Amino acid sequence: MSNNIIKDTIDKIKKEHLAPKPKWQFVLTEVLYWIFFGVSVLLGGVAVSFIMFVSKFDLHPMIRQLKGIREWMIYIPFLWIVLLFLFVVASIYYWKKTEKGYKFNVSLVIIAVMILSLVLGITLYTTKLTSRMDKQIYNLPGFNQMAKEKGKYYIESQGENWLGGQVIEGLKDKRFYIEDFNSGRVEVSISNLPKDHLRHVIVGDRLKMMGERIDKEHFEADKVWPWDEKPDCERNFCPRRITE
Amino acid sequence: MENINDKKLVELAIKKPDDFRYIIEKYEKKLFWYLKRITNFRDEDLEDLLQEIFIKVYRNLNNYDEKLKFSSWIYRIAHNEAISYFRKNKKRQEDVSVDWEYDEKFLQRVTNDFKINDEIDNNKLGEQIFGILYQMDIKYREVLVYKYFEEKSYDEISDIIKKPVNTVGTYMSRAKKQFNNILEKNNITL
Repeated sequence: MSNNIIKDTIDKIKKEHLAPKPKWQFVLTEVLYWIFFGVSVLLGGVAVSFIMFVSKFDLHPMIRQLKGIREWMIYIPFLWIVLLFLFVVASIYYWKKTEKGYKFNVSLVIIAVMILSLVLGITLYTTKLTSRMDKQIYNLPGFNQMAKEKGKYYIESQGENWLGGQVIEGLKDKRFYIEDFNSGRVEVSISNLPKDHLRHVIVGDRLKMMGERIDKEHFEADKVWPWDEKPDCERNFCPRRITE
Repeated sequence: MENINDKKLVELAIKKPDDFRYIIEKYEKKLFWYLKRITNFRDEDLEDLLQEIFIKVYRNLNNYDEKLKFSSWIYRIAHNEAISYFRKNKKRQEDVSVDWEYDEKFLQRVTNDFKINDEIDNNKLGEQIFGILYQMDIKYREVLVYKYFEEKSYDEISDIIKKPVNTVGTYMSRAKKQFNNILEKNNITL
Protein backbone atom coordinates (compact mmCIF):
# COMPACT_ATOMS: atom_id res chain seq x y z
CA MET A 1 0.00 0.00 0.00
CA SER A 2 1.44 3.36 -0.98
CA ASN A 3 1.68 6.18 1.53
CA ASN A 4 0.21 8.79 -0.76
CA ILE A 5 -3.46 8.39 0.09
CA ILE A 6 -3.39 11.07 2.78
CA LYS A 7 -1.53 13.55 0.60
CA ASP A 8 -3.55 12.76 -2.55
CA THR A 9 -6.88 13.03 -0.73
CA ILE A 10 -6.05 16.32 1.01
CA ASP A 11 -4.63 17.71 -2.26
CA LYS A 12 -7.79 16.74 -4.12
CA ILE A 13 -9.98 18.36 -1.46
CA LYS A 14 -8.00 21.60 -1.75
CA LYS A 15 -7.61 21.56 -5.53
CA GLU A 16 -11.31 20.97 -6.16
CA HIS A 17 -12.35 23.27 -3.27
CA LEU A 18 -14.38 20.48 -1.74
CA ALA A 19 -16.14 21.12 1.55
CA PRO A 20 -18.41 19.06 3.80
CA LYS A 21 -22.02 19.35 2.67
CA PRO A 22 -23.99 21.58 5.04
CA LYS A 23 -25.96 19.88 7.78
CA TRP A 24 -29.29 21.36 6.63
CA GLN A 25 -29.12 19.33 3.40
CA PHE A 26 -29.10 16.09 5.35
CA VAL A 27 -31.80 17.31 7.72
CA LEU A 28 -33.97 18.40 4.78
CA THR A 29 -33.54 15.04 3.05
CA GLU A 30 -34.56 13.24 6.24
CA VAL A 31 -37.57 15.51 6.74
CA LEU A 32 -38.65 14.96 3.13
CA TYR A 33 -38.48 11.19 3.53
CA TRP A 34 -40.70 11.47 6.62
CA ILE A 35 -43.15 13.71 4.77
CA PHE A 36 -43.29 11.32 1.79
CA PHE A 37 -43.79 8.45 4.21
CA GLY A 38 -46.62 10.30 5.99
CA VAL A 39 -48.32 11.28 2.73
CA SER A 40 -48.11 7.71 1.44
CA VAL A 41 -49.69 6.37 4.64
CA LEU A 42 -52.39 9.04 4.46
CA LEU A 43 -53.17 8.18 0.84
CA GLY A 44 -53.21 4.51 1.83
CA GLY A 45 -55.81 5.48 4.42
CA VAL A 46 -57.85 7.29 1.75
CA ALA A 47 -57.68 4.14 -0.41
CA VAL A 48 -58.89 1.99 2.51
CA SER A 49 -61.75 4.39 3.21
CA PHE A 50 -62.81 4.25 -0.46
CA ILE A 51 -62.64 0.47 -0.50
CA MET A 52 -65.01 0.51 2.49
CA PHE A 53 -67.15 3.20 0.93
CA VAL A 54 -67.52 1.37 -2.38
CA SER A 55 -67.94 -2.05 -0.75
CA LYS A 56 -70.81 -0.95 1.48
CA PHE A 57 -72.78 -0.09 -1.64
CA ASP A 58 -75.56 -2.56 -2.30
CA LEU A 59 -73.82 -4.77 -4.83
CA HIS A 60 -76.06 -7.84 -4.69
CA PRO A 61 -78.61 -6.88 -7.33
CA MET A 62 -75.81 -5.87 -9.68
CA ILE A 63 -73.58 -8.89 -9.22
CA ARG A 64 -76.24 -11.07 -10.80
CA GLN A 65 -75.81 -9.09 -13.98
CA LEU A 66 -72.03 -8.92 -14.04
CA LYS A 67 -70.90 -10.97 -16.99
CA GLY A 68 -67.77 -9.51 -18.52
CA ILE A 69 -64.43 -8.44 -17.06
CA ARG A 70 -65.27 -4.82 -17.79
CA GLU A 71 -68.35 -4.95 -15.56
CA TRP A 72 -66.36 -6.56 -12.79
CA MET A 73 -63.68 -3.90 -13.18
CA ILE A 74 -66.35 -1.24 -12.72
CA TYR A 75 -67.88 -2.66 -9.55
CA ILE A 76 -65.08 -4.24 -7.61
CA PRO A 77 -62.87 -1.40 -6.25
CA PHE A 78 -59.80 -2.66 -8.12
CA LEU A 79 -58.57 0.85 -8.62
CA TRP A 80 -58.52 1.54 -4.88
CA ILE A 81 -57.03 -1.86 -4.12
CA VAL A 82 -54.22 -1.20 -6.62
CA LEU A 83 -53.72 2.31 -5.21
CA LEU A 84 -53.63 0.93 -1.67
CA PHE A 85 -50.94 -1.55 -2.75
CA LEU A 86 -48.90 1.23 -4.41
CA PHE A 87 -49.18 3.53 -1.36
CA VAL A 88 -48.15 0.73 0.98
CA VAL A 89 -45.12 0.01 -1.23
CA ALA A 90 -44.28 3.73 -1.32
CA SER A 91 -44.62 3.99 2.48
CA ILE A 92 -42.22 1.09 2.97
CA TYR A 93 -39.77 2.56 0.46
CA TYR A 94 -39.69 5.95 2.20
CA TRP A 95 -39.57 4.38 5.64
CA LYS A 96 -36.51 2.36 4.63
CA LYS A 97 -34.91 5.56 3.34
CA THR A 98 -35.16 7.28 6.72
CA GLU A 99 -32.10 7.30 8.96
CA LYS A 100 -33.22 4.50 11.28
CA GLY A 101 -35.60 2.76 8.90
CA TYR A 102 -33.21 -0.12 8.23
CA LYS A 103 -33.45 -1.32 11.83
CA PHE A 104 -36.94 -2.74 11.33
CA ASN A 105 -38.00 -5.83 9.42
CA VAL A 106 -39.98 -5.21 6.25
CA SER A 107 -42.77 -7.50 7.47
CA LEU A 108 -43.08 -5.43 10.65
CA VAL A 109 -43.16 -2.20 8.63
CA ILE A 110 -45.84 -3.65 6.31
CA ILE A 111 -48.01 -4.61 9.29
CA ALA A 112 -47.54 -1.17 10.91
CA VAL A 113 -48.34 0.66 7.65
CA MET A 114 -51.42 -1.50 7.06
CA ILE A 115 -52.70 -0.86 10.59
CA LEU A 116 -52.08 2.89 10.21
CA SER A 117 -53.87 2.92 6.83
CA LEU A 118 -56.75 0.94 8.28
CA VAL A 119 -57.16 3.26 11.28
CA LEU A 120 -56.98 6.31 9.01
CA GLY A 121 -59.36 4.72 6.53
CA ILE A 122 -61.94 3.91 9.22
CA THR A 123 -61.61 7.44 10.61
CA LEU A 124 -62.13 9.04 7.20
CA TYR A 125 -65.04 6.75 6.48
CA THR A 126 -66.85 7.19 9.78
CA THR A 127 -66.42 10.97 9.77
CA LYS A 128 -68.08 11.05 6.31
CA LEU A 129 -64.97 12.61 4.77
CA THR A 130 -64.87 9.81 2.21
CA SER A 131 -68.37 10.70 1.14
CA ARG A 132 -67.29 14.33 0.63
CA MET A 133 -64.18 13.24 -1.27
CA ASP A 134 -66.32 10.96 -3.43
CA LYS A 135 -68.47 13.95 -4.37
CA GLN A 136 -65.37 15.84 -5.52
CA ILE A 137 -63.90 12.84 -7.30
CA TYR A 138 -67.18 12.23 -9.16
CA ASN A 139 -66.57 15.36 -11.19
CA LEU A 140 -63.08 14.32 -12.33
CA PRO A 141 -63.16 13.20 -15.99
CA GLY A 142 -61.91 9.60 -15.65
CA PHE A 143 -63.81 8.89 -12.45
CA ASN A 144 -66.96 10.55 -13.76
CA GLN A 145 -67.23 8.12 -16.66
CA MET A 146 -66.58 5.14 -14.43
CA ALA A 147 -69.07 6.30 -11.79
CA LYS A 148 -71.74 6.92 -14.43
CA GLU A 149 -71.33 3.42 -15.83
CA LYS A 150 -71.56 2.01 -12.35
CA GLY A 151 -74.64 4.11 -11.59
CA LYS A 152 -76.27 3.03 -14.83
CA TYR A 153 -75.80 -0.64 -14.04
CA TYR A 154 -77.06 -0.16 -10.52
CA ILE A 155 -80.26 1.60 -11.57
CA GLU A 156 -80.90 -0.94 -14.36
CA SER A 157 -80.41 -3.79 -11.92
CA GLN A 158 -82.95 -2.30 -9.48
CA GLY A 159 -85.81 -2.20 -11.95
CA GLU A 160 -87.72 0.03 -14.31
CA ASN A 161 -89.21 2.33 -11.69
CA TRP A 162 -85.83 3.55 -10.53
CA LEU A 163 -83.86 6.68 -11.34
CA GLY A 164 -80.46 7.94 -10.25
CA GLY A 165 -78.17 10.85 -11.03
CA GLN A 166 -76.60 14.11 -9.96
CA VAL A 167 -78.70 17.10 -8.94
CA ILE A 168 -78.13 19.92 -11.41
CA GLU A 169 -80.85 22.30 -10.31
CA GLY A 170 -82.26 22.71 -6.78
CA LEU A 171 -85.77 22.27 -5.40
CA LYS A 172 -88.45 24.65 -6.63
CA ASP A 173 -92.23 24.05 -6.62
CA LYS A 174 -91.74 20.45 -5.55
CA ARG A 175 -89.52 19.85 -8.53
CA PHE A 176 -85.78 19.53 -9.10
CA TYR A 177 -83.58 18.44 -11.99
CA ILE A 178 -80.99 15.73 -12.23
CA GLU A 179 -78.55 14.55 -14.84
CA ASP A 180 -79.11 10.80 -15.00
CA PHE A 181 -76.36 8.30 -15.74
CA ASN A 182 -77.06 8.45 -19.46
CA SER A 183 -76.27 12.19 -19.22
CA GLY A 184 -79.92 13.05 -19.81
CA ARG A 185 -81.72 15.90 -17.99
CA VAL A 186 -84.71 14.64 -16.01
CA GLU A 187 -87.29 16.67 -14.10
CA VAL A 188 -88.14 14.98 -10.81
CA SER A 189 -91.46 15.72 -9.16
CA ILE A 190 -91.74 15.02 -5.43
CA SER A 191 -95.45 15.74 -4.99
CA ASN A 192 -95.95 12.18 -3.70
CA LEU A 193 -93.34 12.50 -0.97
CA PRO A 194 -94.53 13.02 2.62
CA LYS A 195 -94.92 16.64 3.65
CA ASP A 196 -91.73 18.39 4.85
CA HIS A 197 -89.70 15.38 3.90
CA LEU A 198 -87.56 17.06 1.27
CA ARG A 199 -87.05 20.76 1.79
CA HIS A 200 -83.64 21.25 0.15
CA VAL A 201 -81.88 19.40 -2.57
CA ILE A 202 -78.20 20.21 -2.82
CA VAL A 203 -76.83 20.77 -6.30
CA GLY A 204 -73.97 18.33 -6.96
CA ASP A 205 -75.35 15.59 -4.70
CA ARG A 206 -76.15 12.24 -6.22
CA LEU A 207 -79.51 10.67 -5.43
CA LYS A 208 -81.37 7.52 -6.22
CA MET A 209 -85.12 7.31 -6.20
CA MET A 210 -88.04 4.99 -6.67
CA GLY A 211 -91.23 6.07 -8.37
CA GLU A 212 -92.82 6.25 -11.76
CA ARG A 213 -91.18 7.10 -15.04
CA ILE A 214 -93.62 9.39 -16.82
CA ASP A 215 -91.48 9.75 -19.93
CA LYS A 216 -87.82 10.15 -20.81
CA GLU A 217 -87.57 13.58 -19.18
CA HIS A 218 -90.05 13.31 -16.29
CA PHE A 219 -90.07 11.21 -13.15
CA GLU A 220 -92.50 11.10 -10.23
CA ALA A 221 -90.56 10.12 -7.09
CA ASP A 222 -92.11 8.14 -4.23
CA LYS A 223 -88.90 7.59 -2.29
CA VAL A 224 -85.55 9.36 -2.44
CA TRP A 225 -82.20 8.34 -0.96
CA PRO A 226 -78.69 9.73 -1.05
CA TRP A 227 -76.74 7.76 -3.65
CA ASP A 228 -74.28 6.14 -1.26
CA GLU A 229 -76.84 4.88 1.24
CA LYS A 230 -78.57 1.55 1.06
CA PRO A 231 -82.26 2.01 0.17
CA ASP A 232 -83.52 0.33 3.30
CA CYS A 233 -84.87 3.25 5.30
CA GLU A 234 -88.52 2.65 4.64
CA ARG A 235 -90.06 4.96 7.25
CA ASN A 236 -87.97 8.08 7.02
CA PHE A 237 -86.76 7.87 3.44
CA CYS A 238 -83.23 8.64 4.67
CA PRO A 239 -83.55 12.41 4.61
CA ARG A 240 -80.31 13.21 6.43
CA ARG A 241 -78.16 14.37 3.55
CA ILE A 242 -80.73 15.64 1.17
CA THR A 243 -82.47 17.93 3.61
CA GLU A 244 -81.06 20.64 5.79
CA MET B 1 -3.82 12.64 17.83
CA GLU B 2 -4.23 8.93 18.51
CA ASN B 3 -5.88 9.63 21.85
CA ILE B 4 -8.47 12.02 20.46
CA ASN B 5 -11.83 10.40 19.94
CA ASP B 6 -13.52 10.15 16.56
CA LYS B 7 -16.14 12.77 17.38
CA LYS B 8 -13.42 15.33 18.04
CA LEU B 9 -11.59 14.29 14.86
CA VAL B 10 -14.78 14.92 12.89
CA GLU B 11 -15.16 18.37 14.43
CA LEU B 12 -11.55 19.21 13.59
CA ALA B 13 -11.91 18.00 9.98
CA ILE B 14 -15.07 20.03 9.44
CA LYS B 15 -13.26 23.17 10.56
CA LYS B 16 -9.97 22.55 8.74
CA PRO B 17 -9.48 20.23 5.73
CA ASP B 18 -5.85 19.52 6.69
CA ASP B 19 -7.05 17.90 9.92
CA PHE B 20 -8.99 15.36 7.90
CA ARG B 21 -5.62 13.58 7.62
CA TYR B 22 -6.04 12.24 11.16
CA ILE B 23 -9.17 10.36 10.17
CA ILE B 24 -7.44 9.00 7.07
CA GLU B 25 -4.42 7.97 9.12
CA LYS B 26 -6.61 6.12 11.59
CA TYR B 27 -8.70 4.23 9.06
CA GLU B 28 -6.73 3.86 5.84
CA LYS B 29 -5.06 0.58 6.72
CA LYS B 30 -8.20 -0.98 8.20
CA LEU B 31 -10.30 0.03 5.20
CA PHE B 32 -7.64 -1.02 2.70
CA TRP B 33 -7.59 -4.57 4.07
CA TYR B 34 -11.34 -4.62 4.35
CA LEU B 35 -11.64 -3.68 0.68
CA LYS B 36 -8.96 -6.19 -0.26
CA ARG B 37 -10.84 -8.98 1.51
CA ILE B 38 -14.13 -8.01 -0.04
CA THR B 39 -13.06 -7.38 -3.62
CA ASN B 40 -9.55 -8.83 -4.08
CA PHE B 41 -8.82 -6.08 -6.59
CA ARG B 42 -5.31 -4.90 -7.42
CA ASP B 43 -3.70 -2.60 -4.84
CA GLU B 44 -3.62 0.33 -7.27
CA ASP B 45 -7.35 0.00 -7.93
CA LEU B 46 -8.04 -0.26 -4.24
CA GLU B 47 -6.05 2.89 -3.54
CA ASP B 48 -8.18 4.78 -6.06
CA LEU B 49 -11.29 3.36 -4.46
CA LEU B 50 -10.02 4.23 -1.00
CA GLN B 51 -9.40 7.81 -2.05
CA GLU B 52 -12.97 8.02 -3.40
CA ILE B 53 -14.24 6.67 -0.10
CA PHE B 54 -12.33 9.24 1.94
CA ILE B 55 -13.56 12.06 -0.30
CA LYS B 56 -17.10 10.83 0.25
CA VAL B 57 -16.51 10.60 4.00
CA TYR B 58 -15.22 14.16 3.98
CA ARG B 59 -18.19 15.49 1.99
CA ASN B 60 -20.61 13.76 4.37
CA LEU B 61 -18.96 14.62 7.69
CA ASN B 62 -21.95 16.72 8.73
CA ASN B 63 -24.17 13.69 8.32
CA TYR B 64 -22.30 11.70 10.94
CA ASP B 65 -24.77 10.65 13.63
CA GLU B 66 -23.05 10.64 17.01
CA LYS B 67 -25.37 7.91 18.25
CA LEU B 68 -23.61 5.60 15.82
CA LYS B 69 -20.04 4.38 16.22
CA PHE B 70 -17.85 6.39 13.86
CA SER B 71 -16.19 3.18 12.69
CA SER B 72 -19.63 1.78 11.71
CA TRP B 73 -20.42 4.99 9.87
CA ILE B 74 -17.17 5.04 7.90
CA TYR B 75 -17.44 1.31 7.14
CA ARG B 76 -20.98 1.94 5.89
CA ILE B 77 -19.66 4.42 3.32
CA ALA B 78 -16.84 2.04 2.42
CA HIS B 79 -19.35 -0.81 2.09
CA ASN B 80 -21.61 1.17 -0.27
CA GLU B 81 -18.70 2.28 -2.43
CA ALA B 82 -17.09 -1.18 -2.41
CA ILE B 83 -20.31 -2.92 -3.48
CA SER B 84 -20.91 -0.44 -6.26
CA TYR B 85 -17.25 -0.60 -7.40
CA PHE B 86 -17.31 -4.39 -7.23
CA ARG B 87 -20.40 -4.61 -9.43
CA LYS B 88 -18.89 -2.30 -12.02
CA ASN B 89 -15.48 -3.97 -12.08
CA LYS B 90 -16.19 -7.61 -11.30
CA LYS B 91 -13.90 -8.87 -14.05
CA ARG B 92 -10.89 -7.18 -12.54
CA GLN B 93 -10.94 -9.45 -9.52
CA GLU B 94 -7.52 -11.04 -9.15
CA ASP B 95 -6.82 -14.75 -9.04
CA VAL B 96 -7.06 -16.43 -5.73
CA SER B 97 -3.38 -16.01 -4.93
CA VAL B 98 -4.07 -13.68 -2.08
CA ASP B 99 -1.64 -11.40 -0.42
CA TRP B 100 -3.44 -11.94 2.82
CA GLU B 101 -2.37 -10.38 6.05
CA TYR B 102 -1.38 -13.12 8.46
CA ASP B 103 -3.53 -13.04 11.54
CA GLU B 104 -3.30 -15.77 14.14
CA LYS B 105 -6.48 -14.72 15.95
CA PHE B 106 -8.45 -14.74 12.71
CA LEU B 107 -7.35 -18.29 11.93
CA GLN B 108 -8.25 -19.35 15.44
CA ARG B 109 -11.75 -17.89 15.14
CA VAL B 110 -12.35 -19.53 11.76
CA THR B 111 -11.02 -22.94 12.73
CA ASN B 112 -13.19 -22.94 15.87
CA ASP B 113 -16.40 -22.00 14.06
CA PHE B 114 -15.95 -24.14 10.95
CA LYS B 115 -14.42 -27.20 12.61
CA ILE B 116 -11.32 -26.96 10.49
CA ASN B 117 -8.22 -28.93 11.26
CA ASP B 118 -5.96 -26.40 12.98
CA GLU B 119 -2.85 -28.51 12.48
CA ILE B 120 -2.68 -27.55 8.84
CA ASP B 121 0.02 -25.07 7.77
CA ASN B 122 -1.28 -21.57 8.56
CA ASN B 123 -0.27 -20.02 5.24
CA LYS B 124 -1.94 -22.77 3.28
CA LEU B 125 -4.98 -22.57 5.51
CA GLY B 126 -5.27 -18.82 4.97
CA GLU B 127 -5.00 -19.18 1.21
CA GLN B 128 -7.58 -21.95 1.16
CA ILE B 129 -10.00 -19.88 3.23
CA PHE B 130 -9.62 -16.93 0.85
CA GLY B 131 -10.01 -19.27 -2.08
CA ILE B 132 -13.40 -20.21 -0.70
CA LEU B 133 -14.35 -16.67 0.30
CA TYR B 134 -13.81 -15.38 -3.23
CA GLN B 135 -16.18 -18.00 -4.62
CA MET B 136 -18.95 -16.83 -2.33
CA ASP B 137 -21.67 -14.28 -3.03
CA ILE B 138 -20.37 -10.90 -2.00
CA LYS B 139 -23.15 -10.26 0.55
CA TYR B 140 -22.31 -13.50 2.37
CA ARG B 141 -18.56 -13.05 1.97
CA GLU B 142 -18.89 -9.60 3.47
CA VAL B 143 -20.62 -10.67 6.69
CA LEU B 144 -17.94 -13.31 7.25
CA VAL B 145 -15.25 -10.67 6.71
CA TYR B 146 -16.96 -8.37 9.22
CA LYS B 147 -17.25 -11.09 11.80
CA TYR B 148 -13.95 -12.93 11.45
CA PHE B 149 -11.57 -10.20 10.27
CA GLU B 150 -13.06 -6.97 11.52
CA GLU B 151 -14.49 -8.54 14.69
CA LYS B 152 -17.72 -6.59 14.39
CA SER B 153 -20.80 -7.43 16.46
CA TYR B 154 -24.16 -8.17 14.79
CA ASP B 155 -25.37 -4.71 15.82
CA GLU B 156 -22.37 -3.07 14.17
CA ILE B 157 -22.79 -5.16 11.01
CA SER B 158 -26.46 -4.14 10.98
CA ASP B 159 -25.45 -0.47 11.13
CA ILE B 160 -22.87 -0.92 8.38
CA ILE B 161 -24.93 -2.81 5.83
CA LYS B 162 -28.19 -1.12 6.92
CA LYS B 163 -30.14 -4.32 7.47
CA PRO B 164 -32.04 -5.43 10.59
CA VAL B 165 -30.03 -7.45 13.11
CA ASN B 166 -32.00 -10.64 12.47
CA THR B 167 -31.31 -10.29 8.73
CA VAL B 168 -27.60 -10.14 9.62
CA GLY B 169 -28.11 -13.38 11.54
CA THR B 170 -29.79 -14.96 8.52
CA TYR B 171 -26.97 -13.78 6.23
CA MET B 172 -24.43 -15.20 8.64
CA SER B 173 -25.96 -18.66 8.78
CA ARG B 174 -26.40 -18.72 4.99
CA ALA B 175 -22.81 -17.55 4.59
CA LYS B 176 -21.54 -20.40 6.76
CA LYS B 177 -23.66 -22.86 4.82
CA GLN B 178 -22.33 -21.56 1.51
CA PHE B 179 -18.76 -21.67 2.84
CA ASN B 180 -19.18 -25.31 3.84
CA ASN B 181 -20.87 -26.19 0.53
CA ILE B 182 -17.95 -24.78 -1.46
CA LEU B 183 -15.58 -26.62 0.86
CA GLU B 184 -17.32 -29.91 0.12
CA LYS B 185 -17.90 -29.24 -3.56
CA ASN B 186 -14.24 -28.52 -4.23
CA ASN B 187 -13.17 -31.37 -2.02
CA ILE B 188 -10.91 -29.07 -0.04
CA THR B 189 -9.36 -30.66 3.02
CA LEU B 190 -8.93 -28.22 5.81
